[in-house]
Amino acid sequence: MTAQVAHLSDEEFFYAYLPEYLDGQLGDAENKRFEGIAKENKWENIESDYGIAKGHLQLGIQKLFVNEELNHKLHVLVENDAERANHEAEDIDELGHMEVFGGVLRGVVFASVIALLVGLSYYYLGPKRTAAFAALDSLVYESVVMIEDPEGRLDFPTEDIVELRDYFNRYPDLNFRVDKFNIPGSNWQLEGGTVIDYEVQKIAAAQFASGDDKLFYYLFEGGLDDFPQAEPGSFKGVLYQTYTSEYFNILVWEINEDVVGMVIGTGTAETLAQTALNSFGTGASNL
Amino acid sequence: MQAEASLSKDLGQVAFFVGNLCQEADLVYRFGYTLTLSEVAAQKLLLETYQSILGRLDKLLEGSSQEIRFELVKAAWSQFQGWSETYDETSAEVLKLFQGLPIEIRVVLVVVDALGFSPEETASLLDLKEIELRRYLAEGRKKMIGFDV
Repeated sequence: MTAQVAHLSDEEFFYAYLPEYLDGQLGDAENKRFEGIAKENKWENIESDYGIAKGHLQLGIQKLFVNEELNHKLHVLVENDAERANHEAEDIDELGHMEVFGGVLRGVVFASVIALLVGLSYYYLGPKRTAAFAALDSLVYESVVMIEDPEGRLDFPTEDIVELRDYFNRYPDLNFRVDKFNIPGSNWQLEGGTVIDYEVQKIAAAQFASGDDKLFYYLFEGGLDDFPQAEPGSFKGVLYQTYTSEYFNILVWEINEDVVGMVIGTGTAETLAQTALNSFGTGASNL
Repeated sequence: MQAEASLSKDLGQVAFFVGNLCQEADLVYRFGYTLTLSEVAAQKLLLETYQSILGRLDKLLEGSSQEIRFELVKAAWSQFQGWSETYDETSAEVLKLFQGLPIEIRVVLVVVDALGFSPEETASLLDLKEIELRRYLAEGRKKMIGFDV
């Protein structure tokens, strides 16, 4: 790498190797050069500026996706609709001819094979599950942006939790109601909410403040298995998974079988679990 | 048509195409938009790319998921090299940023910082020397950080 970086100007080197520097992947000489350039140019906030700009780029790119019609055109490249529909029937029919061998045991084997084939066919050829958006990255980024620009991001500023619940419940196509959402504690002041529309998913978002500290809730259709595996935790009946980012701790839990909640803040996992419990309680109908 | 007909009889390859390759269609579509700034062109490039790989599904079947992603983007890049048509730009959130960047800079920026390929993979994918790639990356990041959304 040394030979390569020698041919780059200071500015080129700085921007070209910024992530490698942030990840601690540069050697001593490159590190020294990098820090010297940053100091000389007073680029003190470059790490967060780069993180935010990259987040904007990634979110913008994620909003471009293949629609159902185009997806269908891709599938038709390998088999048409009729072929697709006939595959299962053909498989079953083929196996049906073998019934001449009869016998209870053989019947059980055939039934198992058919079930397996149908299952596999459905798995490979059946309708695709809606692609999950990258919840962790996207919503941590949203939280950073909401701190920077709350007026621009909160479509429904309010200090009244009843008004916010009503806003969510009247929002078109949110697909779930939010009837029991409460403030997380007397020290938290509601600042408002919004519905983030990623097209593949709508997310109800609420923002609270306690002095300079911020707390964010995000509610959306899904489950814990949509998230990367993490060590599970439990707090007074709230089963959760936790993650960390540069600025926040993140706790996700299933509010009910259809809706997942994410709380993002600076508190510990236990503190965040307590706020989740305060806001939603536990049980099957806690929305 | 011959390829389609024979392929349709190989259920394993069909399942691989639908179950694995089509899952990466967004990746190719986003790459296509970055190249062309047009959703119409990105759709066309996506279909041509997938059509172009039908004859080598057996080799793709052996690859890891990252190798498959690499091969798909490489195939899209290869298809794009043969294009002479131009398309009208279509609006997208990233269009304003992209409009200020030459194609080689925006494609390197997106492939590394948004699509998740390493700089080394990207240099190989786009057939660039590493020094060229780093210069494009530097220019793209500088514009991206200074870009007022």
